[in-house]
Amino acid sequence: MLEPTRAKVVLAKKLSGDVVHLTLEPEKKIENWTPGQFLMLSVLGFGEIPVGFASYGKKQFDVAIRSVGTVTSKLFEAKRGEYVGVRGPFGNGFNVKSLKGRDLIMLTGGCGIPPFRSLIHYVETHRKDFGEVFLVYGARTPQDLLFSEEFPNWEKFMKVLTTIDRSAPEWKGCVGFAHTRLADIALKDAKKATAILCGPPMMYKPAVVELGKMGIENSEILLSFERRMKCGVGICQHCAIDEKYVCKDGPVFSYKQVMEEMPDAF
Amino acid sequence: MNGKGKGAGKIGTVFYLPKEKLIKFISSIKPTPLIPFGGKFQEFRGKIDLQGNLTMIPPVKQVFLPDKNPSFLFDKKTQKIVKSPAEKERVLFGVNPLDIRALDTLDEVFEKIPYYQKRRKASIVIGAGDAGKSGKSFDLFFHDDGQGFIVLAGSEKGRAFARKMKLSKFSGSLPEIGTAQEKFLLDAEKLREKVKRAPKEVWEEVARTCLGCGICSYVCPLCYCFEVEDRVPIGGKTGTRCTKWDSCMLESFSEVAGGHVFQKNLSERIKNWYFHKFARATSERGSPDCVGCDRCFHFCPVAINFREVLGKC
Repeated sequence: MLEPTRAKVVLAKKLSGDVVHLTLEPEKKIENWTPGQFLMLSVLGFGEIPVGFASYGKKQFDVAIRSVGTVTSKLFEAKRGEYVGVRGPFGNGFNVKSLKGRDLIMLTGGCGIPPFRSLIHYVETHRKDFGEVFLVYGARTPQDLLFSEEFPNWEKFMKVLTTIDRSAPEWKGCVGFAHTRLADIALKDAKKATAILCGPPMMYKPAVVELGKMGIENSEILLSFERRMKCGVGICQHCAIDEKYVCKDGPVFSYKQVMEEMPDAF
Repeated sequence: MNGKGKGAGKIGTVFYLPKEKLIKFISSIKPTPLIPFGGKFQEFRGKIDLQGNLTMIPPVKQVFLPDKNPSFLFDKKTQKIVKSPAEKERVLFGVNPLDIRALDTLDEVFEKIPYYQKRRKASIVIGAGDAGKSGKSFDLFFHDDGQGFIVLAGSEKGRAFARKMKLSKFSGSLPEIGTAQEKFLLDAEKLREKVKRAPKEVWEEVARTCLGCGICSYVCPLCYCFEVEDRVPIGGKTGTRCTKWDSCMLESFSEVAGGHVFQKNLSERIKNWYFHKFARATSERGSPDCVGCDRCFHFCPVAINFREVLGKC
């Protein structure tokens, strides 16, 4: 259960100055995963980290890693043909069946985009299942907007709204935090919309306020949480919030559930 | 492995050992048993802490979930798992009854963790003390009746061991197992609701005294949270992935890459400690992750008594 399966790096591509996109092929097939679920990614000798799936539905899968610590800086330097360790999938993920027929707003900032790329892949192959689909994405600088070369393709079947934190000379788009761009979304019926958040901890509070103002119900605001995780199976206690484990019961919780059962989550 | 506090079920053959024969008995156990002495489990060298202050008896997690325990070995270059560490046969003698109760819970929590299960299966656990306070996860239990020990077998392995050790049979009245549990722990649901409803002032008040040192986790038989660390000797080709003791009382416990700490305030960490033991554990398994041993109170440098804190919830 704690032993990873070896996986080959079949693609290693730098997405920005500190983020790498890896495509991994496990030697033993891992269970099918749902967008929003995560895996534990190892470099034996350095450690193990939780990371969200950034793609959907193939034997190989993608992850995007920002170099911030011991394991991630090692992964940032990973080359094609090298090996890492994987175990999972873990957590509940986004319940894609319950999202059927709904308008979707994916709201993210910084390095929170990978799980949404997985969901976007799902939306692309099941487009008729959804109403309007938006990605609202904020990053520090234009260069930090990850997967930006895929935006033109995504815009064929959904809307992509971007923003950067501070104005930059080459940037002609919006400036400000991600949630400020919610003002540009005109929903026909807010009761038919589901908003999903995945981003830096500071994003959640202001974002749920804005989404509430738009008329989206608390049970339809889904929050994907990041926490320190060591086991992924609800034993090591690092990711506990009140009576819940982010690794096992989450990482996706509705805002309604958070208010009722995890009042100190953020 | 469920059923904490429900007794060990069918006991079967019962044995007896007079007190004066105890040291001789322990001396004849092969392999040399691990016994509580000097605050830790160590190989028997003629002396044992049985009747001493409970707080001098180490929590049994020291043996089954030791600090920096290797869960597997790996080859750094190929990124392949080489093997799992071998387990040797162990005999533990003199495990405190409350720690046997803690084992009931650990067996359930670590049910699917191979390194724990392997070690448990390779071990013979012999409890000693008052059977009424004990859980059921023993192979043998030495119930102290004043003059000697009524020896109860909790498993086939224990029974075979007692026969091999030529313990004489006993036919008097038998002590009950697990009937003397503390009331506040039995009323788990009530305790859970109390802790969940506690105003944050309760935790803030504890935080004014608490040093946040984490010794309460260190000595608790049911603080089993862990950190994971890869250890490779300098120039080494192979390394081990280890589980290291951790404490939710420390700030680093909730820190993520990039430096954000989710439980920055000590009062939040104190709340989480109580939530783990008296709310989360009950919601998961129906009973608290506490056996009432009071080690956390006795070792606390500022004498925080969890019973008093629970009283204020």
